[in-house]
Amino acid sequence: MGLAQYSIALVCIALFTIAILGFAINFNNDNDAAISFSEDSDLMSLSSNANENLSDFRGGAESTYKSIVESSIEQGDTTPSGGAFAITPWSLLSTVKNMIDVGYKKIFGNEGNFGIFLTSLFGMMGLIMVFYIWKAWAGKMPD
Amino acid sequence: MSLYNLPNSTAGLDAIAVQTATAVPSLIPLLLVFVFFVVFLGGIGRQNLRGGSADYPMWSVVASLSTFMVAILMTIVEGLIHVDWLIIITVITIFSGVWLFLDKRASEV
Repeated sequence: MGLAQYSIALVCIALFTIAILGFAINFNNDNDAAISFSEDSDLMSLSSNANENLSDFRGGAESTYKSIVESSIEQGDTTPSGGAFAITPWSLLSTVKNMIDVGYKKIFGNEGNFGIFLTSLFGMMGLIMVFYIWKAWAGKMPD
Repeated sequence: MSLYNLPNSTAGLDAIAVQTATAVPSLIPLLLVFVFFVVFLGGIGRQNLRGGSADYPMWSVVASLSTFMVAILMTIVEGLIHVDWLIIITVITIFSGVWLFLDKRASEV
């Protein structure tokens, strides 16, 4: 996936999360349900954090747009004077991180036993990255 | 002592459901698991038959949302579902959405 697809997917994930949690919270409020999401502070904070992260992303997108519009390339230069363009989806990544944190805590509890999963995942990603570097450097297929 | 007390059937259908769920705590979670897998495996199997391949993340989201809707309706009546199960179903639904949106090929999103 490219950066555009990746960013769009993260925005959709954040909107999906807000939609699901918002629907559930409002359903409970409207119907005066006996079991309410407000009993759980983690999901309520996840909802507000996702809203905040999306708002941060909007601000980042605006500033990136502004830097693109206001940039210029001087004669003889190959790069814009305003610096490299980048719209970093870090605020969106933190949405996904919050989801994983809350989901991990809700399904597996507060103990750190599940940490080995994320450790293994990041270790595997690091290993694949080393394989790619080795492939580019030595020209051999790491199959 | 009897193994299982019959529910009071004069108090209404919801009372029967609540008393059964109270007597058998695993009833509601297993019912929700049943709903999830009926939609998930049914959708995958049918799509496999029709097209030769199946969209697993999409059916995961459809099954999760179906389970979520059933679970959220259960919250109206006290005693049917615990908030823990509701939260776990919500988390699974969100994770299914993450799977769906990150799974799409570049040409689709």
